[in-house]
Amino acid sequence: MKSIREEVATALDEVLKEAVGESDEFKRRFRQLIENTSNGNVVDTDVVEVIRLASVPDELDE
Amino acid sequence: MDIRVLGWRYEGIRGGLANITIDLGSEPARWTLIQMPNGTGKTTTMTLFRAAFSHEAWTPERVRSLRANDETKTGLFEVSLSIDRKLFRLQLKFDYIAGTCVYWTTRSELSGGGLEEGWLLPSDIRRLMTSEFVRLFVFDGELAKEIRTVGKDRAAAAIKTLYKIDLLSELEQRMQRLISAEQDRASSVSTASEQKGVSRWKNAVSQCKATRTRLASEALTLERERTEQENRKIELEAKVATRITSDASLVVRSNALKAERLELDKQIFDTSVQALSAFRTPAKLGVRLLDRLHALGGKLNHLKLPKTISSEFFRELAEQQRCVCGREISDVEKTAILERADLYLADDQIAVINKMKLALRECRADDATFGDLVEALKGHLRLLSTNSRALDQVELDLIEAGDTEVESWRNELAGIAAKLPILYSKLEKINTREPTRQKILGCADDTNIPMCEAELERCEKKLATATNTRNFTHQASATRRLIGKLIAKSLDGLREHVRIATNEKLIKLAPSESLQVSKIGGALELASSGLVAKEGVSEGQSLAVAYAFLTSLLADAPYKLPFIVDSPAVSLDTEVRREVGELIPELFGQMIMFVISSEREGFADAFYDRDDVRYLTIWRDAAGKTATGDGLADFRSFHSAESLT
Repeated sequence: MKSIREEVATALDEVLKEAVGESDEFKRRFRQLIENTSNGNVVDTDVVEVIRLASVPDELDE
Repeated sequence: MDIRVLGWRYEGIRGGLANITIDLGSEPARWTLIQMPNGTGKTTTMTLFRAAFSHEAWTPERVRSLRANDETKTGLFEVSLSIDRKLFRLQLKFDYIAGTCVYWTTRSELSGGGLEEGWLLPSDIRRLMTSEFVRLFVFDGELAKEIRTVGKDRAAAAIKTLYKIDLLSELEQRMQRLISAEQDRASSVSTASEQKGVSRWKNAVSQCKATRTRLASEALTLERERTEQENRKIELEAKVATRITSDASLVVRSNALKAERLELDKQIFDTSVQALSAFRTPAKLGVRLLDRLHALGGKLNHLKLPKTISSEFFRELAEQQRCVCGREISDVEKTAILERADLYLADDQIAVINKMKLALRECRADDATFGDLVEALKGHLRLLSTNSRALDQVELDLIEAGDTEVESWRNELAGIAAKLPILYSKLEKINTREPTRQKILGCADDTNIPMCEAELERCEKKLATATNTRNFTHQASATRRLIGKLIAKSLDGLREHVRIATNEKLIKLAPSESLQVSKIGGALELASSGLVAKEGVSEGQSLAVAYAFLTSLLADAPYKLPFIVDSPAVSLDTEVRREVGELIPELFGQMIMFVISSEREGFADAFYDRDDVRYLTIWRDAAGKTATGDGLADFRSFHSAESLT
């Protein structure tokens, strides 16, 4: 059986795998954000930086 | 994070706990069995532990219910904890008269380590210790029933808290807050929905750009026309001048008039400068104005203004030991003097006013100065007009002599002279950057290029803000959805993990009873079987399920918590007790078990062969006084009423 920590890591892998439109940089920073959140080490600017890396669909500008 | 209980003590608490100290030492035994007969304060102790760990609020009635007797005015419960090997002491100080409970903390990590008011555990632990969560490890027998009751969210909530999934929920909420903040920031741009706001400003920008293109094209056409007209004017004037040179007498007249014109222009310029200079000296404008200025100077003089004492005087005075009147200047007087010093003018202000007063009093002027200059200017302008007419006459003489070409040129020049001011005016209206001129000419962003550009810049900024907000909202919502998915998947994985581990333990605890957890939803759901219908689960089975669940839940947690339990096996039959007694001890780093003597058989005796066990016995003697016994011998030999039942 997997450890509890592995359960969360597996869930994170699956979620990021499904996020097909997102860049590798976003995925890397999102993973970091989740890790920092678990350590209680997150400030608003970190969150905003990750949000800004998320993709914006082209159709929004049409 | 490793949390251990090192001991606790009571003062003025009911149930024979008036003055007892339990010291488990700096390296407490892994298992502590405390035998206390019913009525000696087990339930009270559990209540106090739960309050201490979760910073519970107390009502006056609850506080007073702890009172040892009517004479007791105050009470205390103190728990000593080791948190990652750092010492913390939590105190609950009860005031039975006021009905209050105040929390105090001692932290060894702080220099001095004195008592501080408040519940000051490390922030990571504060987040964890909700009253619901604390009930899991300061174990409440009632929880065993509730933990598998449909509708209670305790099992899922415990997993969320313990494995920090709730921190992800907080992150989700934080993102929603950031979206709101961004939208509030941009609310001045648009109150419409984000996409509508973007569309609106996009249209405004397009419109401004179209207007700017149109105005630039209009300006270009006007510029071209102006240049053509100006060039044509120069050309025609040159032609007329050439024609004049063909007649010697006209040339002489023309040259003389031109020379005179040059002289007149110079005189007009000089006189204008002098008149403007005189105009800037009010005393020279007229007799009445001069009289009024003298009167103002006289009044200032009469009123002895400005006052001669300056604010600097008071500032210097405030620094002195004594006032000019001889009295001592203390801090109070000093403050008052400094506050009032600002009521007086500063030295430099006084100097300016004095200079003005002198100027007012002594200003002298020949009241004819400005008038004479104006008259002279009028004379020059009249002469200029005459000169223009004379020059014009030179050309008219040519026409009168039959020169039709000159007449035609002059007519064309007259037309150009009429057209050019209109062109200049139109160009000024379209190009001017001067706000005053823009106002006078009635310019707007659809008629003036600089105003159009300013409007375009404003609309582009608004569009950028609206776009930024819309994009941010979209990005944050997408990121939130990812976190939502992560929470759901993590919880599913964790629930399943805990469920499988729980079932593995249940097989050991109750091998003959087919007890299995089928699902951890909000609560624990048991697999339906002939033996275990929902309503048919016995108290002992509930306890077995609860222990299996709790130990599975806590096993991999990032927090090592003490497990404090009251009567851990009282409702189990002897066989299950033995299983629980064999299984549970391995699952916790520290266990504190309050037992009654009847639990020794099957449960407590499972510990007798183990090392690292501490045995304590607390009872009331025949005189009603609380006594304590330390060691296995006292523990085993103690007999009380309930053991006989």
